[in-house]
Amino acid sequence: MKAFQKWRSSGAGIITLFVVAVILFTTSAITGAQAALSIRSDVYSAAIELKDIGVTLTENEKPVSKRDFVPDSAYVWDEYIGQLLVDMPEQSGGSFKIGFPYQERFAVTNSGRIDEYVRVRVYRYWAVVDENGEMTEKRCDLDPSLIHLTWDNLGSDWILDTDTETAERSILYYNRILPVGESTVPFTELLTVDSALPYQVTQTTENGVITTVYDYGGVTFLVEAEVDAVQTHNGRDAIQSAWGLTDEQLETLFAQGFRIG
Amino acid sequence: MKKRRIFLFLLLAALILCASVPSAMAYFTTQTKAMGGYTVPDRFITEVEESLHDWTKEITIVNFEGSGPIFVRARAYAGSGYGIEYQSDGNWYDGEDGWWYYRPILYAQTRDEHGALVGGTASGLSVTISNIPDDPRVGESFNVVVVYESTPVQYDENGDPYADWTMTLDTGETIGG
Repeated sequence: MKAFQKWRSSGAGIITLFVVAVILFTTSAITGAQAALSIRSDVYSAAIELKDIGVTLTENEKPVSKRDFVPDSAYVWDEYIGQLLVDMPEQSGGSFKIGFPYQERFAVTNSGRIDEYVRVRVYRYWAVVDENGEMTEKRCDLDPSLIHLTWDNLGSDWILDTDTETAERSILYYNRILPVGESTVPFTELLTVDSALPYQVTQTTENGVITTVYDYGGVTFLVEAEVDAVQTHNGRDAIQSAWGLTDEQLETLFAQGFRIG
Repeated sequence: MKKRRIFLFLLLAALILCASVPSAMAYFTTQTKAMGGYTVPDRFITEVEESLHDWTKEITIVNFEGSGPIFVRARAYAGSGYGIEYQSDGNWYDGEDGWWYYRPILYAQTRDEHGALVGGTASGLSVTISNIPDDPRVGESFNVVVVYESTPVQYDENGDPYADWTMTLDTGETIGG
C-alpha cells in the first residue's frame, strides 16, 4: 500500500493515472457515438430529408414570399420576398381609398418536403416613405389601431395570442400540423384604414391665422407579415426552442386547441 | 506538488462533467415575410368659385390636387324680399332640407400629360335671384351668401360609398351680389 501511495505521488504515477482517465473518458464517448450511429442507420434515408423544410406566405390565394430548402443541396435556399397589397387598389377603382373594406386574405402554404408547425407575426404601423419606397421615419406617435385588419378562422384553425398582442403586433399560431403541400385557411379577411382619419387634425393659431394640419396627411400605413415554420419531429421541444415559448405559454396554446402530433 | 495534484484532480472532474453534458439539439426552421402599404392624402382642401350674370350665380366647387375624394353640398341665402331659385344640370339634386347635393364623388384635381390641372370640379348648379325690383336704384346692393360643405367619402361593408353629413370637413361661403 505504501509502495502504491509512493508510486501514485510520483510524477510517473500521476501521469499514468491521468492517461488512464483520458482513455476511460474517450472510450465512453466513442461508445455513445457508436450507439447513435447504429440508431441513425435504421432511418438513414428519412433523416436526409429532415431539413427540406419550406414555407410560403400567400395573399388572396396568390404566393407572395417563400423560403424553401433546396433538396440534395449543400444548404441552399430557394427564396423570394414579394410585396403585400400590390393589387389592393384594383378593388376600389384603381386608387387607394380611406375607409374602403379591402379583401385581404393572408394564408400559409407548406412548400417544403416535411410537415411543419407554423405561426405568423403581423405588424401594422405608420411611417414616412420616400419617393423610392424606402422608409425614412417610423411614426410611433400615430395610432396603429386605425389600420384595421379583420382576423378570420380564429378558434377553428388559428389561435390569436392575446397575451402578447399590442396595437402594432399580433401573433397567430396555426393550431395543428401543416402537412406537405397543403395550405391553411386564411387568418385575415379585410383591411380597412379608418374613415375617421381625415378628421385627425391639429390646429394652431398665430397672429389670427388658423392653420389646420392633417395628422396623417402624407403618411404611409404599412402592414407586415412574418411566417415562421418549424419541424414536427420532437415537436414540443422544437416549438419551444425555435419560437421561445415557455412551458406556461405552450400550455396556454394547448388550452386554446393547439395540438402536437 | 500538492497544488499539482489538486489541479489534475480538478481537470479530471471537469472532463467527466463534460462527458455527461447532453449534446445540443438543432431544429430545422424556415421563415419568410412580406410588407406593403399606401400613402394617405395629405389634405382635404376645397374652395368655391362663382360667376355672376343676369342675377344668376354659377357655382363651382374645387377639390384641390392631393386631396382625398369627397361629397359636397351647397345652398344659398338672400336677404328678405328676394327669392332664390336653383337650376341643376342633373348632377345636383334637391335634398329637400335646404341643401343641394352633388351626386357623384368629387375626386381631387389631377394633372394631364402636359402638367395642366384637370378634373376635381363640381359645377352645374346655378342660383337665380328672384323678386328683383323693376327699377333698382343706382348704388343699391344686396348680399347672396353661398354656403358649401364637404365630407370624406365613406364605405359600407359592401364597399359602397356613402356620405356622413354629421361629420363635415370643409365649410365655406361666398358673399356678394
